[in-house]
Amino acid sequence: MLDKVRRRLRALTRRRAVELELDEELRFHIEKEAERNAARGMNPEEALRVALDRFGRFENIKEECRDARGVRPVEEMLQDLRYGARKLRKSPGFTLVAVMTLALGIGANTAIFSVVNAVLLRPLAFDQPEQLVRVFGTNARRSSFSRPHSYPNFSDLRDQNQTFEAMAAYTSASAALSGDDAPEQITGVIASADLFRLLRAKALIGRLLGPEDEKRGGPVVISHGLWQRRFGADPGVVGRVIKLDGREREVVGVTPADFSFEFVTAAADFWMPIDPASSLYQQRGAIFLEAIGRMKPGVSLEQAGSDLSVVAARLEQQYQESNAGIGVRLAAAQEELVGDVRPTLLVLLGAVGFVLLIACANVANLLLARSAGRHREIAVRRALGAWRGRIVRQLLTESLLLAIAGGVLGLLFALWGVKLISAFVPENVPRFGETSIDLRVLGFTLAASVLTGLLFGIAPALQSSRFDLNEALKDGGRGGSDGRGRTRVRSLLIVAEVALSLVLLIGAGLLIKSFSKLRNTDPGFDPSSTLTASLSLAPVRYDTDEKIADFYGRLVERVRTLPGVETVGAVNPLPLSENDYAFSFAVIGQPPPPPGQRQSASARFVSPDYFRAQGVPLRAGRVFNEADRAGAPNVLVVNEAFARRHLAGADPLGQRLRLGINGIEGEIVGVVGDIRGTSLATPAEPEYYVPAAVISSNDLTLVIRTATDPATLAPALRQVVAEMDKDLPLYDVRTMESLVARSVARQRFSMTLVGVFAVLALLLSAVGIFSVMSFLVAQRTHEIGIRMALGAQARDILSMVIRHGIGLTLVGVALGLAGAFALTRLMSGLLYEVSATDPFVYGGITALLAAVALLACYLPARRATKVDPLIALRYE
Amino acid sequence: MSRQKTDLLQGTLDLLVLKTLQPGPAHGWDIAQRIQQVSEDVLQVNQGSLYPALHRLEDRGLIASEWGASENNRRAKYYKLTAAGRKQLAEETESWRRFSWAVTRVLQSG
Repeated sequence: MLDKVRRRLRALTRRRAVELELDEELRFHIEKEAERNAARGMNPEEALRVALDRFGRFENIKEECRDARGVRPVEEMLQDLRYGARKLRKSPGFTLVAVMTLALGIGANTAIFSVVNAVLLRPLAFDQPEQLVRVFGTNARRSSFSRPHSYPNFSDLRDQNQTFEAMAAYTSASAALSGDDAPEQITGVIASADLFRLLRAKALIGRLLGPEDEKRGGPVVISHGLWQRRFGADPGVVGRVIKLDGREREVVGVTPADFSFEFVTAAADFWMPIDPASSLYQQRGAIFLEAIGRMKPGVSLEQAGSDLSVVAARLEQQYQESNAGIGVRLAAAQEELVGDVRPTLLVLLGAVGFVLLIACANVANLLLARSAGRHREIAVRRALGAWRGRIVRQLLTESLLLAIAGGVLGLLFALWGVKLISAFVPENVPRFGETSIDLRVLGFTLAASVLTGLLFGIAPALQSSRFDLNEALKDGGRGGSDGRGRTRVRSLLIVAEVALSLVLLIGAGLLIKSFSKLRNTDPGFDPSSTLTASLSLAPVRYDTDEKIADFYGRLVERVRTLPGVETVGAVNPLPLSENDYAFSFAVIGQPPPPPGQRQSASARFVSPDYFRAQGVPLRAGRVFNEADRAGAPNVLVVNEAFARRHLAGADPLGQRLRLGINGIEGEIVGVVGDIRGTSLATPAEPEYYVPAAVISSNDLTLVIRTATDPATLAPALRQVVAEMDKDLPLYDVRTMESLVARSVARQRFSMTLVGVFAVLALLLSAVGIFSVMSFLVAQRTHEIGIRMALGAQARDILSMVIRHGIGLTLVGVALGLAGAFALTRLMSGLLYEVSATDPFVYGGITALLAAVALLACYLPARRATKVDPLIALRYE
Repeated sequence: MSRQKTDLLQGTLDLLVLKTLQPGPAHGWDIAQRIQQVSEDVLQVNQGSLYPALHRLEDRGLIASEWGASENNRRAKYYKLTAAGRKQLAEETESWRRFSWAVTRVLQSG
């Protein structure tokens, strides 16, 4: 076997030596035979002649011997490659345009695929990630709601199941890290002891959390990033005590650089154990924990699901009051993490695939145009005995060379493209940071290149290898004319390009219309000239309501005096901040709902000036004032959606609510306008407002309406906070505008990318139509000359050429409309208040494409009218 | 039809080459001579067609080649059987015998 490989390799690489040996061997035979003939008495000449005679046709034998080496196909391929490369080098203009077109197409595809690969395809970076599942609570009354768990429920699920190796609960956290440097608000995760064991994660240095850590004031594990940033990557950090929210905690370990737990946040900087003994962890009604589990080997998602459902049903029986209607739902961890970006990515992949197809059509066109010029060459080769398949193979090799060159260059484009994409990818796209060019991406690029090469090469290759001696001779004199078949292929290519571009353009048009609708949606507040900044007072130092109220009171007073400040409000949680506190409530006077069906709504804790600062309009009654504080009669404000849904027609003012927060009762004194607090695309939800002075909250966000550019206020604001408390970090300093932009970032992202691809497609198609029409006009110069000589007017010629082009365009438009109709449905999930068959988008885009096609036909047609009959005929 | 005939001839030629090499290494001309002598000039093929057969057998690993000096000290390419070649020879000889025996039987029965 090895011998064979060595021999074949030698036949390939040392071709000349092998040929010489063959020659020598055969020559030896003939000489030997001639010698024998001479020995038998022939004269030398006759001896040689007879020897040659008996040997057979020398060249044929040699050819057969070459075949016998078993490397023939490879040899021919190398020959084709050399030949193809030489041909391409000889027409650098064509090669450059073709390779660039392909590189653009393949590069864009590779870039998008590398994102798809990282986000959707690559398994999560944990050991045996397919065993990991997220465990959600469900509520029979709210089907789409993923309910968090209370700690008692979680621990029952964990302890009573049969199908899980381990289960862990966690929740996100935020804390001020203070010390020698400026204080910093960092985010992190509070997790039950099993989390790291379940993920099978290892510490970079020190250790991760374990069961012994589940206690009050437990230790902390820090992220690689924080370790580098705040501790200068000092290995001595393990064992050190750091201050989080003013409380001292021991650092026991550092997570590896590539460890990330995106189920909470990719940016987690610290990991702390839960404290099961604290009161929050004792209440079955306190739902704030997420859960993840690792199934035992061989257990399916369904088995685990039915197992946990049994436990949940038992809990429902046992704890009617808190658990009625509460079940569980399982989801594969990866699917859950990336499920909602999947449609966007698939639409992008589809769009970019269309661009590549159009690029293919353009290159095929170029090849056809070029092959017209190579007609003679091919005819000669056929005449010399090359069979058709051999020529097709040679032409395909040339296409593949082009495609591979395009692929290599495309890979460079892709590297650059991924950088470009990452500059404006929404921050909440999970796993995007893992994007890289790995083996699978390289394989994709290679496969895309080869397929592309075959796709754009096959039709021209078949077309030009078709050999008709008569035609070849006839055409020969004129340096190649376009046969009928070739014209048909080109027409098909135009139709395909128009159809593909139209689908892509309509997709982009829908996304653009959808985005502009989204941007024009009234959020219910005025985001202009507003700066927001968050503070979290450490409970250790701000341990009474008085201290908190006093601090915020003084802060607001001081900020109000800063230059440029108009109004200062405070709120928790800030709209569009991705925080949401839902609390249950009961309307006093209405019959109490059955257990498990308590009503709940989002609550915001606000200062009196909040509504004015945020620009939320008052609809009825009044907003809070300074007198609405602890000790005074409790008052509430609700929004219109709340009044509509929960107070069914009655006048909201004067109604009383009992809240699920400390059992507070309050009277509704005002109704304000609805706001879109989750995202611009999500309709307003019922909300109620509670004075921040009544229920003191350590976390507050300042909402500052300014007369100047809000961003310029930030330094002065930091200065004020640092002067009041040097250990208190001011974080998430953002303008309200930027929050609005963030909430539509994903839509902007898909709109921009699809838009770019669509424009690319339009340009490629326009170039394609233009070049084909130009070529056809050039081919028909003779005919046009005759027509003009016979009295045709310029207008007749113009309309003749344009009619031809427009005819093709219309066929393409018809196909494209049908395609768009079928395909844009797939993206209806990405659209906001725009139907996937929006007639205005369809009509407008069709008109746009038709106009571009018309222009691309008009320019060559005008050239046709400039034909001088005399020259055209003499050209013959 | 003609293809089948070539295959048959080719297979036969291969067998004869292997057989000829059984006693020891030989160069192409020698092999041609021996086949002719042994078959008493019945098997008249172009001598040249021997070479593609030799190269094919070498590619299949049934024979190996080596350059050596011929009787009068000229460079010549010598072929010899490999282990695989020996095995192949035994197998093909056997099946050829069976085949010709069967053909003989059929012809005699008429």
